[in-house]
Amino acid sequence: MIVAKDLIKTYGRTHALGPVSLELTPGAHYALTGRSGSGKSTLLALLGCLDTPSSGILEINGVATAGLDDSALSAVRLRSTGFVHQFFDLVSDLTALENVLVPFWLAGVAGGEVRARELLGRLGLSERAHHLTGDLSGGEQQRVAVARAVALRPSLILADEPTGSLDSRTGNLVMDLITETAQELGATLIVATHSPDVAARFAKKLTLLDGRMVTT
Amino acid sequence: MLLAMGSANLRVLDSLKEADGSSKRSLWNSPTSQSGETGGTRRIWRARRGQLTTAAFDHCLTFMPSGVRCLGLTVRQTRDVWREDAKKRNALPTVTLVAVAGSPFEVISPMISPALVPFKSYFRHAPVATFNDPDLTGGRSQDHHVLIDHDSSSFGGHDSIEASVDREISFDAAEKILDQIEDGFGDEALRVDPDAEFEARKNLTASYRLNLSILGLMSVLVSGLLLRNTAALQMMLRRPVVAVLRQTGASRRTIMGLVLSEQILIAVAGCAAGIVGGLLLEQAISHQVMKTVRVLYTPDAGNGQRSLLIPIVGATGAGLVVYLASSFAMLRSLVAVQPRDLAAREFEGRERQADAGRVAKGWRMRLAGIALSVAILLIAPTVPPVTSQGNLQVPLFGYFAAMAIVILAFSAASGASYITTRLLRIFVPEARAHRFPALAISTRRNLHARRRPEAAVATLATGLALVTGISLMVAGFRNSFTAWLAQSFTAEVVALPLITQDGEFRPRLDGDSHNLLRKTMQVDTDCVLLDEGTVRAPGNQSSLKGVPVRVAAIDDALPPDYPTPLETIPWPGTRTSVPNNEILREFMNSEDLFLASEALARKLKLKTGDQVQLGGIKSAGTHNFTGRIAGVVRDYSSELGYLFLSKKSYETRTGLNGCHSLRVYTAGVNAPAFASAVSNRLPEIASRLNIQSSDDLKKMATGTFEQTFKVTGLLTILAAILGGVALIVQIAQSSAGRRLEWLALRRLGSSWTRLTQLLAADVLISVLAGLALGLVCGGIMAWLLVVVINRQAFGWSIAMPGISDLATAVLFAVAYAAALWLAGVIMSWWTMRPGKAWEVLRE
Repeated sequence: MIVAKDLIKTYGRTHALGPVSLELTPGAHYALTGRSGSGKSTLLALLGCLDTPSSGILEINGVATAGLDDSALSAVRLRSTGFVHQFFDLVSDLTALENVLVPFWLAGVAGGEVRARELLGRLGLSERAHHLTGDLSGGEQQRVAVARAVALRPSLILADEPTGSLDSRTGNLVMDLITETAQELGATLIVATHSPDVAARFAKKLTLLDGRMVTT
Repeated sequence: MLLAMGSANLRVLDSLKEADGSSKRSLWNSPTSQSGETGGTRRIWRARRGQLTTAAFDHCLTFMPSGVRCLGLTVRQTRDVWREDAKKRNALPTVTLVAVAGSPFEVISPMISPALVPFKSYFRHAPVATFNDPDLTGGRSQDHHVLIDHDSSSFGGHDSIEASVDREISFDAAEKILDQIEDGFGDEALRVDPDAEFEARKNLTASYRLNLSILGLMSVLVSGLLLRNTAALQMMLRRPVVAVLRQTGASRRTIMGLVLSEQILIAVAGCAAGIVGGLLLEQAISHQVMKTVRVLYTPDAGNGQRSLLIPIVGATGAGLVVYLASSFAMLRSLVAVQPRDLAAREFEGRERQADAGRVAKGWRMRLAGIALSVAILLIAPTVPPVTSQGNLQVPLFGYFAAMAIVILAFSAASGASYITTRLLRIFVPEARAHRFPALAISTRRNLHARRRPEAAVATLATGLALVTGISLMVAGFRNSFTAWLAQSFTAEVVALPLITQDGEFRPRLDGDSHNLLRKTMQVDTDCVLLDEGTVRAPGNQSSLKGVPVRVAAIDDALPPDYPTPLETIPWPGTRTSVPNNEILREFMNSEDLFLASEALARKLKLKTGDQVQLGGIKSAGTHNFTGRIAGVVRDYSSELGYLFLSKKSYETRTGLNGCHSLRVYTAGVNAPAFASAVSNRLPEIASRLNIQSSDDLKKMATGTFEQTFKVTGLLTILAAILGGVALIVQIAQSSAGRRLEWLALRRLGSSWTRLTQLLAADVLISVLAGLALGLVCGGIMAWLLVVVINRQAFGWSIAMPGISDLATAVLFAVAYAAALWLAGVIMSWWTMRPGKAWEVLRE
C-alpha cells in the first residue's frame, strides 16, 4: 500500500508539485498523465524515493519515508520500488546480465543469476545477455531496464515515459512486458506518459495539472 | 608546480656547479725552504653552518704579532661584486673574494686577478691593481680572485678562514698558536683538510647533480601529464555543452573557437596564478634544499639574486603549450563525434560482445611501446657514455633509457590494469558478488570498459618508478659505501700528518718517523703516499694512457688478524681462483704491478693483465714506469679513481718516503689511548699527527653521505607529490566522465555510502595497478641507475639493494599508494558530489 498525504515539492522558489494526496491500491496499474511541467516526473521521483518531499507524508508498505536517512531511503528504493526510465539508465560498461544482477549485489541477495537469466529469457534477451548494454538497441536496452527494475520483486513499479525513446512497435512490446511483469508480481504500477495510446492501456488514471492532482 | 620544481632544481644545480668551481683549497703558497723541524704550518676552518663571522676573522688577526697570516675566503655571486648597471652582467664571472689583513701583499683595495682586467669597469669599487694569481695560490686554483682589505670592506662573514704561521717559528710553537686560534673560534668552526674536502665535494656534487637532473626531467614529464589531465578533465566536463551546441547547429569550427578561447583565458589566468604560487613554492623548496647544500658545500650558495626570467618563461611556455595542445586534441576528438552520439553516453556505437573489450584499443601501439622500451633498456648497458668537454663521462643513452621507463609505464598501463582487475575479479565471483558489490561492479566494469584507467595507472607508475628507483639506488649505494668503509677502515686508528715537507703541498710523515712509530709502538700500519698533482709542483702530474691520474702508493702491511683493506673485484682478465689477499701480497711485494681502482679501470678500459706505462714518476731519474695491472679494487673515494702501486716501488722511483696518511692497527687499543701512548713515548711524532678514531671517520663519511641524499630524498618526494596530484586529477577526470553511470546506480538504490564504496573500489583498481607497475618500473629504474647511469658516470659499481631495502621501498610505495587512494576517493567524490549537478542531470 502506497499512501501520500499533502506531498509538496519546491525547488527554491519554484513550486514543482502539490499538495498531492494519494492512496494506491496494491496491485493496481495506473497511467500518470499531464502536460510537460505538470509534475509527473517529480511525483514519480518522490514515490520512488529518488527525492524527498518538501512537506507531506509518504508511506510505502506501511513505512513512513520521512525521517529515513539516505541508506534507509536507498534500501526502500532498491527493494520496494522498481524504476524504468525513459533513457534506460543502464551501466553501459556492464553486460545486460550484469546490469540485471546489480540490484541483487547491492541488496546483498545471493543467487540472483538464475532469476536474472530467467528474466532476460522471458524478455527475449537470452542471446544478448553477455553483450554490453551500450551496444544494444533502444528496445533491448529498455527490456534490460525492465528486467532490472523487477529483479527484486518490488511492490511498486514506476515507469517514466518508458516508451519515449522507442518506436511505437517496440514501445508496445515494452509496455506489454512491463504490465505483464507487474501483474505477475502483483505489484502496483504507475506509468507516466504523454502518449494517449499508452494511457489508454490503463483503466485507472492519475492526471496532474500545474502540480496538482485533478483525476484519481 | 612545474615552475617550482624546475626553478628549485635549477637553483640547486647552479649552486652545486658554483660549489664545484670554487675551490676551497689552501690559497697559501707553501713555504719553499724548510725542513720538518721548522714551521710553515697552516690550517683552514669553515663554519659548521653558514659562515664564519668577521669576529672570528678578527680573532685570527689578533695573532698577527705572533707571526700569523690570516685570509678570509668568500665566494660571491656576481651581484655582490659588480655594479648594478653592469650591462654584461650575465657574462660576468663568479669571483672569490679574499679578505686580507697583515698579509705579505700590500693591499689597499681591491686587487684583482689579471683574468678580471677586461671586466674592470664593471666592479662596484674600481680595482687599484692586479696581482699575480700564482703568488697567492701557487697555481693550484683556477678561481678569479679579488683581494680586499678586511678592515675597509663590509664582509658579513667568511666561507673559510685560513691561517698560516711564519716559517721562522718552530713547528711546535706554530701548532700551539694555531690551537689557540682554533680554541677562540669555539665549536662553530670546523677544521678541514682542504684537499680532501674539495675532492669529496666534487664527488658528491657530481652524483647529486646527476640525480637532480634525472629528477628534473621526470618532474617536467609528470607536470606535463598533470596539465594534460587537467585539460582532459575540463573537456570532459564541457561535453554536455558541446553536445547541445552541436545539436543546435553550431559548426565544429565555431565550437573549437569558443572553447579554445575560453581555454586560453583559463590558461592565462592559470599562468598568472602559477607564477605567483610557483615562485612561493620554489622559495619554500629551495629554502629546505639549500640549507643542506650550504652546510655541505658553499655556505652562501644560492644567496645571490638570480634571473627568474628563464624559469618563468620556460615553465609557463611549456605549460601553455601542453595545456592548449591537450585541450585542442581532446576538443577535436569531441567535435568529431556526430551530434547524436555526442549526446549519448558513449561516443562509439560499434556493437561488440563484452569479452571483445579485453584487448583495449591501440594494443599494437602499446605492444610496440613495450618492445621499444625493453629494447632500449636491454642495450643501455652496452652503449658507452659520451665524454664531455670537462672529460666527464655522460651516460646519455642511460638518460634515454630512463625515458624509456616512462614509455614502458604508459604502454603497459592498460595491461597492468587488466591483470589487476582480473586478479581482483577472482575474489568476487558470481556466488560472492553480493557480499562485495562495489568490488564486483567495479571489476566487471573495468574489464569491459573501452577506456581503462591507463593514464592514471601510468601516472602513478611513473611517480613510483622515480621514488622507488632512486630510493633503491641510494639504499644500494649506502650498503656498498658502508661495506667499503668497513673494509677500508678495519684499523682502529687513522693518523693524518700535519707537517708539509720541503716544498710539498700535502702534509707528510717522513719515513724515519714512520718507522720509529711502528717500531716503538709495535703496531702495523697501512701507510699511503698519494700523488694527485698536489704533492709535487703542478704540471708534474702522473699520467696513464695520456690521461692525468692520481697515484696511491701503499705499503705491505697485511696484519694477520684483520681483513684486507682493499678488495679486488671480479674483472675481465682476473684469475678468479686466486684469493684477494694473495693478489694484494703479490702486488705489495712487486715493483711492477699496479692495482687500479674501479673508476679508473672503467674510464681507461683497463683489464687485469694489461701492461701500462705510468708517466711522470721519474723524479729519481728513472724512465717512465711500465707495469702490469694485477687487479681492480673497489674504491668510492673518488670518481676519478686511483692507480695503486707498492710503496717500495714508488719510493725507489720518486725518493719520496713516509706517509700521507696512516691506518694504524692497534690490536684493539682505541684512538684516545693510542694517542696518549704516542704522546708519552714519541711526543715529537705525536705533535705531527692528527690521531683519530676510524669509527669517527666512518661516522663522518656516512653522515656526509646521508646529508647529501637527504636533499635528493626531499626533491624525490616533491616529485612524487607532483605525480600524485596528476594522478588525482586523472581520477577526477575519469569520475566526471562517468556521472551518468553514478546517476543510474543512485536511482537504482545505491546509497551515497554505497557509491563511495564503488568509487573506492574503482580508485583501488587504478592504484593497485599503478602500484604494481610502479614497483616493477621502480626496480628497473634502480637497475638502470645502478648498472648503467652511476656506473658510466662515476665508474663505480653499486650493489643492488638487499631484501630489507626492497621491503622498505615496497612499504613506502604502499603507503604512498594508500595516501593517493584516499585522496583519489575524496577527489572523485568531490567530482561526483551531490548537489546542483545531480539535479541538472536528473531533470
